[in-house]
Order: sequence, then C-alpha cells, then structure tokens
Amino acid sequence: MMTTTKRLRLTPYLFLMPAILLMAVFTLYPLLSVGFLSFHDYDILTPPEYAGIANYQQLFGDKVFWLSLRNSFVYLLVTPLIVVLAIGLAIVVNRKLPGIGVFRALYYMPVITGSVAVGIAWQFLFDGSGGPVNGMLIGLGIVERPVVFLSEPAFTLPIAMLMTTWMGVGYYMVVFLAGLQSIPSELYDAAQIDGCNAFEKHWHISLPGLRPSIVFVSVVSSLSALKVFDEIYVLTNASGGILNSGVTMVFYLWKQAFKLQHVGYASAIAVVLLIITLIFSIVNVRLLERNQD
Amino acid sequence: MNAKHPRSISLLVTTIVALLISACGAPAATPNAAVPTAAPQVVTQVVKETQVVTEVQVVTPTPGANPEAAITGVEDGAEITFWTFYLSPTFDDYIKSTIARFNETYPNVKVNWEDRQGTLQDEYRNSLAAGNAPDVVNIPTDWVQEFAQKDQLLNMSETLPQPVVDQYFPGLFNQVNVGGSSFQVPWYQAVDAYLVNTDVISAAGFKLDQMPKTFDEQKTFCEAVYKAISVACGLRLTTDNLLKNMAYEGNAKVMSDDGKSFTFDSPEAVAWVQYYADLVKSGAVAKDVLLGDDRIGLDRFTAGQMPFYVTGPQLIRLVRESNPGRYGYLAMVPLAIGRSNVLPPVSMSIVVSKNTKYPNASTALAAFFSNPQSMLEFSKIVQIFPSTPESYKDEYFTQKPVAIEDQVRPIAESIISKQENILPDIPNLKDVNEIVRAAFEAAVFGDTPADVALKDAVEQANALIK
Repeated sequence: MMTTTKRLRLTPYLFLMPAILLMAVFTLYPLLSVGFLSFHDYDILTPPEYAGIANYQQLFGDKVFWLSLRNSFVYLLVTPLIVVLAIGLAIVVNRKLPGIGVFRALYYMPVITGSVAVGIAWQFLFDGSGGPVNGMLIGLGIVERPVVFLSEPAFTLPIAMLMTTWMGVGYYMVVFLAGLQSIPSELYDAAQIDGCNAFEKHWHISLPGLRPSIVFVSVVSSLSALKVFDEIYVLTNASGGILNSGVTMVFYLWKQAFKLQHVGYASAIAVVLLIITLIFSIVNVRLLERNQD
Repeated sequence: MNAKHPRSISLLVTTIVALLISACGAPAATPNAAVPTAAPQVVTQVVKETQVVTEVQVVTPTPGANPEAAITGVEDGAEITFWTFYLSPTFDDYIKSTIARFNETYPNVKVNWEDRQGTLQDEYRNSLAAGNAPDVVNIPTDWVQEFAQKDQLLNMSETLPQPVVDQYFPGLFNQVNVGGSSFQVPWYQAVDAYLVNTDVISAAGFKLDQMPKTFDEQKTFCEAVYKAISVACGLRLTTDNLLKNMAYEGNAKVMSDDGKSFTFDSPEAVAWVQYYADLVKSGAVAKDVLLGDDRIGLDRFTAGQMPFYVTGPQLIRLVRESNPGRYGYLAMVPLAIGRSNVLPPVSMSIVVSKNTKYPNASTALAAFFSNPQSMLEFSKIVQIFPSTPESYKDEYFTQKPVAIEDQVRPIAESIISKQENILPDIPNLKDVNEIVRAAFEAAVFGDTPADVALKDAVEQANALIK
C-alpha cells in the first residue's frame, strides 16, 4: 500500500500529467518530427528518404532563404514601434473620462478581427486603381497617377509591417494599461507636488513602473514579428510579393512545405528559425533584465 | 545556492512562456478569403476553409440493360467516395440526380458524395499520403500532373475501354501527358474569351469588331487604349504554370525533344517575356492583375476600370451581381489566339485514385459523370461546355444566343474541338515554374534583360533534372 509520503510526492506529477501529455503530443512530437524530417527528402506523397545534411547545405546557397532571413530581421522594427504606440495609447486611455471604455474597445477591435478580413481591407486601402491611399495622395498632389503599392517591391514589407502594427497595438495597449493601473497613484501625486509636468511624470514614474510589461511586450512582439505569416500571405495573395520582396522565414518555409512539397527542406528552415528564435529570446531577456538591475 | 540561479530560472521561464504565447498569438496559415462562387470554375480559388457537404445517394434500380453502362465488371457492393470541387450547394440537384441515374445503371454501387472547396488540393494530397483517399475526385486539370507523376492515379489510357475514350475530344482526353498516358477524364470545359466593356472601348475609339484577333494585335490594342484614355488592360497569366503561357502565347518550345534539357531561353521565349515587359513599362497593362489573384482583375473589370477581362461566360454572373449597371455594356468575343495558333484547354478533370478498392466502380462513376448525357444536362444549367462531341448535337447548342452569357455557346464546339495540350511532360514542374516566375519578374518588374534572365533560369532548371 502506498504511504502518505509517496502519495504526496506523486500528487504534483499527476496534476501536471494532462498538461505534459498535451505538450508532448502537440509540441514535443512535432518538434522532434521537424528535426527528423530536416535530414530527409519528403514530399508528403512518398515516404521520407534520408538526405543527410543536404537540406542544410542547400540553405547556404539559397538566395531566397537569405532574403527571407533579412526580411524577418527588418520586420523586427515593428517591435519598438508597437511598444511606443501601445504605451502612448495606454496612457491616453488610462483616464477616467465618460465613454473611455468605448475607445478602449475600439482600439482593441483590430486584435479580434480576422487577419484575412484585415488583409482584404488593407488591400483595398492600397489598391492600385482606386484605393483611398492613392486617392489621398492624388488629392494632395503628391502623385499624378495611382501607385500600384502591392506590386512595388519597395512597399510590400513596409505595408505588411504597418498592418502588423495596426493589428497588434491594441493588444499590447491592454498589457500596458494593466501595468499603469498597478502603479500607486500616490507616486503621481508626489511628483506633482515636486513640480513635475505631465511628460516628466510619465518619464520618471510610468516608464520605470512599466518595465516588466515592456520586457514582456518586447519579447512577445519580437517573436511574433519573427514568425509573421498571415500579413504576407494575404497582402501578396500567397505569392510572397514581386521578386520575393515580402518573403519572411515562416512564409518561405510554408511555401517550401505546402506549395512546393519540399517538406524536408522546409523543416531545415524551421530548425534554423527555432535556433534564431531561442538565441534571440535569451539575449533579449538578458539584456532587458540587465537594464532593469 | 548560487545567487545566479533564480535569474537563470527566471530567464528560462520567461523565454519558454514568451515562446508559447508567441506561438499561440496569431492563427495559423489563413488562406486568402474568396467569395464562394455559385458557378463551377476552372480557376483555382482559395478560401479560408473547406465546407464539406456530404450526401449519400441510394436508389432502387430499374431493371434491364442501360445504354449508359459503359464499364463492365463493376464490383458488387462497392462503396465509393466522390469529391467534387466548389459545386455545392448550387449544383446539389444536378449531382444528386446524376448519382441517382448512375445507381440505376450500376445498382449495387453506393456513392458517398462530398463537396470540397478551397483546401481540396491539400486535403487530397494528405488523404493519399494517409492511405484514405477518396476513390473519385474532381480536380482542376492543372493539378493532375503532380499526382500522376507521383504514381497516385489510375491510368485512364489503360483502364477505360476504347468506346469510352472515343466519347471525348481527343485533345481533351490527352491534355495531361505523363509517360504517354492520360490519367484523367475531361469533365466540364470553359472557353476563355474577352469579356468586353463596350463603354470603355468606345471611349477609346474602338468598336467591338476591332477587338484583337491575335496575340500581337492585343499588345497594339492595349497600348492604343492606354494612350487614348489612360485605362490599362487586365491581362492575367497562369501563375502556377508560366511555361503554359509561354508555349501557347509565345510559341516557345520549352523542352528539347528528348526531354533532357529546357529550352525556354529561345528567341521566341525572350520575345514573349519582352512583350509583357514592354506593356508593363508603358503602363498599358495593370501590374497587379498580371500575376495577381483572379479576384483583383474581375473586381476591377466590374468597377469599369478595364477595357476587357479574359474569363469564361460562367463568371459574367458575378459581374452582373456586383454591378448591375455594367451588365448592359458587356459583350463576349473570342480571345486572341497566341503565336502557337493553338488554344489551351481550360478544363476540369475527374481522376480515380490508384489505390481504390473498387477500380471498376470508380472508373464507371468517372466515365458516367463525363458521358454525353450527363455533360449535356450540366451545360444546360450553367455556362460550361461538354468535353464530349456528342453532346453538341443537341439543339441547345445551335439556338440563337439571347443573354450575353450565351454568346459563346454556338461557337463553343469549334473552339473546344481545337483545344489541345502542346506542353511536354515537364519534370519538377512546380520548381521549374518558380524559376521561370523569378526570371519573368526580374525582366518585367526589374532591370534584368529578358534574355539574361531566361538564360540563367534555363541553367537553374536544367540543374534540377541532371
């Protein structure tokens, strides 16, 4: 018969078991499969064939892969933009004004709107014949003829980045809002007595108080930026843009796996992405924590 | 305990939590939304997810020999699954009644019909890999080659009796050539034509009878319209197989006769790329339509911003619904023929999975849905055309057209009978197409000369087959 001590020792593991099982099935197994497939040639229809490190060797000579890597790192510029905008919005909506709940909900709307719907709306915004952005530019006399934004390689990535920012800022605003509301109001009162203006109050009190939230948002949003897919897929109609101008790492691995059926090669890309993401996260957190100290 | 441990644990926990939250943040691949169309289509449309409609049809058979019983040895008690593409709910009645007729002909076969939509290609591929593929599938003809090259489909040239093969236009039965055999039966056909906005071409000083008749006249026409009224043409290429456009429009030979090397850097191929480079540079063709989604072109035409759009009559309904005022200005005229003087098939196919447990019952269903009677009945309810010459003997095809949608009908047989495949069995088609697309974009949207881009592309493509 099991002793009480033994039972107590096993109890936490039993509670953990459902989560561990789910993680094993939906995270660990796919992770190991990707690692396995990255050393194989696999096209879904025929069984995998061992290929050694050929898939990894191919990466070195693949110009589109390097372009996708560069685009993914360029996409990280979204993170500081989102942090600044979300903090600004959080400060704006952190007031006791009539109807402020409506504004908070409105800013949150893009977060809960499907990315396909948002993508189609943005395609319409930047439409090359009669889109509102072109209408405005022509109206202001900035351009004479409509610009076909989504067929211009120079615009593909910036438009996708703007869309990501617009879709994500409401979510991070809520995180910062919660952070702001946990800062004791006495600190602001004391600062006011000391003669601080509104900007100084936020600079000296809000920002230091929000530091844990900033760490969290920076890590999460930069990881999201590294794995961006939906925006590129929808805005470029699954092509990646003219001259691969909008191809990011996740888009490229999707294209290799599901459009070209190079599942082994796509797995090698996924493994590289995993390593980059891990290194990036560790460095990111360590730097921000050091700053905090 | 080392003082650094709590920080390391905190770092690790934060990293794992961030990775997991990040992974859960955005939804997975969400294909582009498209409006489900009521008309059957020969273009690939992508929607967010498939809506599966399942129907089981069992009827009491009528006794006696049936003239539609073309396949012998159909397995008793066979239960087969049939997937169609984008046909439900609009064509439920037609599919159900045809299955009912099939059951009268082959009484001991049970057909489970499911309609699949935007994710059909992935679902079929995955089901083949998992070993639970449907027996009979309706797929766009452009997809047949991939599955046939990977030995997943029943060889129809070997399986079908000659009288059944003879019921189709030869150019359509043989339109997918893999190892010298056909792996599909041609189902419903479309005829691509110019859907013309007479209002726009009139403003540019053109009449309907001045629409281009050849590929080269098309370029002159687009440049003239753009010069007159600054409205660009909406030409759109087959992005999944640019070699097809190159061969039909540009009369370029894409592979050597022995199939051992690519030849799409010939003067004809260079001239074809230069044709589009010139049009894009002059602004006479809409850049975002050229390699874009079909929806972009159709929407812009519907909004009255293009002189014509190349499409089939089955899509006129969408223009009429979106912009009824435009309908009165529409007309359909034959599409300009390419430099090859051959028309490409625009086709839907029915294929049978090679590993089906019931090859005869499955073949019987494929042949039944594409037989002259089934085809005729289908073409009477929507503007698609039969792959079987016999169907055109019905007076329906000689009646004078009333609606704009019907204008192609009297000439459909003469067009479809001339459609044929001129492309060889291209190995690694998807990879080669990626290479060709990159070369095309570099020449048309970038600064690379067409001959340089294609020469480089041929070297890359040849490396794939060595």
